[in-house]
Amino acid sequence: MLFPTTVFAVFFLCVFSGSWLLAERKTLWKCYLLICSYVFYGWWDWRFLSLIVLCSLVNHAAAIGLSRVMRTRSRRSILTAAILCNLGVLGFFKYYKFFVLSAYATLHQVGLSCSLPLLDVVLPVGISFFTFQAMSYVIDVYRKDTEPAQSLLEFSTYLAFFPQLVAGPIVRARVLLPQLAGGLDRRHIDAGRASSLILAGLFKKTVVANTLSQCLVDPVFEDPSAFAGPDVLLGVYGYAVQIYCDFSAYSDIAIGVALLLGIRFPANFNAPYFACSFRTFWQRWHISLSTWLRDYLYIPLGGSRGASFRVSRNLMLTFLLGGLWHGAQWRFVAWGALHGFYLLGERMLTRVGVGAPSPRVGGRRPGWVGRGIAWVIVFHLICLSWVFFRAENFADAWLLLGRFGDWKSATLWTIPTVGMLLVGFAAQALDGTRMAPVWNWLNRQSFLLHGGIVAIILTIILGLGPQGVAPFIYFQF
Amino acid sequence: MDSNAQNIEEERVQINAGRDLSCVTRSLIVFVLFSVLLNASGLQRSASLLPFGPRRRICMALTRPVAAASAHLHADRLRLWFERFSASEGQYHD
Repeated sequence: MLFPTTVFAVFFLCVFSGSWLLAERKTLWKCYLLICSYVFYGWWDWRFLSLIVLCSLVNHAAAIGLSRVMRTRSRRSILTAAILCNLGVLGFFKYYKFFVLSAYATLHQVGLSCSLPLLDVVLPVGISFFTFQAMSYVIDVYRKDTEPAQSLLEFSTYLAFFPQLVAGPIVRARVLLPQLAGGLDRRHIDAGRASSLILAGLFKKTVVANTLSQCLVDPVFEDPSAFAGPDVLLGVYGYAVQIYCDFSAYSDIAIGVALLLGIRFPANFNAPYFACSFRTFWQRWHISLSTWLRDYLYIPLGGSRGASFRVSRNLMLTFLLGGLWHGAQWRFVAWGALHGFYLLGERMLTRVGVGAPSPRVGGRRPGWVGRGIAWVIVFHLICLSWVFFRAENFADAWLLLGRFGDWKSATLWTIPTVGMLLVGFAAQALDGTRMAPVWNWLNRQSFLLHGGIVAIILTIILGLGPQGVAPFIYFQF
Repeated sequence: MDSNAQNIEEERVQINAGRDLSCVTRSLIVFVLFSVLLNASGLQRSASLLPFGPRRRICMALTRPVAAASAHLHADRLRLWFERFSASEGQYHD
């Protein structure tokens, strides 16, 4: 069930009505949300519901165990078992084929041949998101950062809550569980913010991402040899804007939908391409994943403390695994490695006084020329990393990069295409709280005007977008 | 957990943004009615693209009178105008 479809609209109206009717009866309300979330997930493939139910059972049992057992050694064993269970599920469904094929290729290269069992495993939608959420919950309970959920029902609702189930944001237990336990507030539903976010998400996905994908990105990446350097460059810019618009659109719609149900999610994007350093970029791009990796991987590995070699190792490991999280292919690992190198390079340059110094070391903020140069370099290096992320394989990525040597006349640099690219880039201005005046203005309007304005803008968005509904890019992860 | 719940409640009160449920429900009803009327032709087109079967028959039966009412009221003009605009600007439509 995709967000920008009539089926989802009908589904959401049912959820909205039922959720608010049952809001006073907390247990029934959670039950209803859970059933709706399972219907949402089962719409794709009902067989995988058992997986999410199993995940809920195992992690809830682990959390209860962690809250009751006092011995450090036993607690550590429970935590290890729960993490292994989650990683086992993720590893089997997402990485089994990748590891078998990689092992086979390695053995073949060293002259050994053996037949490894190769199963055709279907990747369940959203598995990377809900397993990471489950792991963060168990680790937080182990660290005593959060209390375990009051019941299995509450935890299952947290894990399966449909707005963020298939493509995030990865919402921490300490954010969502208290809201589920506390019930809903009928007096302050931030409908202005919710409708603005949903409309912004629909615009970014339906108009910008789908159009760029059809008219620019897909043709360039499918057959780079048919295009000259300037067109390939535009295609790479196009993909950078497309993936931002696509993924941030999903997050915006998820946050908006949850808000209409009285639940607040943290922001997942904050104008990432406006960043003048890689460090800032990662504070603004897929915030829920980058903070997850920081809190549960980078810091436990040692973080920024210790010798330079150890910090570099921690950073590279975090980004290599972050890349692998996106997909079971070496090109995603390469994407992660590139970002790891970028951050290492930036760290080194900052130490010798080049680039944007960290405010933590008391550095002076560079002038606008310096920031402009830094922005150009950072943005283009990020675009370079997207080439490996988007290309089907390394050969295609190198072929595409090789086309930059052929600087013939451009055919794709038309006003509508470049205009759409710029609109998508400018759409970052909608992130964060920059639109707060619009939210407040909408909240102050009469219900007739509010509903009418939103309907008219929706109609314009649907009219401007291409026919058909393309799935969100992050569904595959 | 208690402190977290308290923080969120405080945040809600501090923000104090938004409107009450009855107003949001009325806005949503207005939005649905307006959206259906403004996009009836698009809904009918989507229904016609469904594979033949009972689902398509039901969707067509539901959208046909709405599309007729929308056309009668000229409510479908807005979307058609933007569809034509985007098609002429970049041949984005099939």
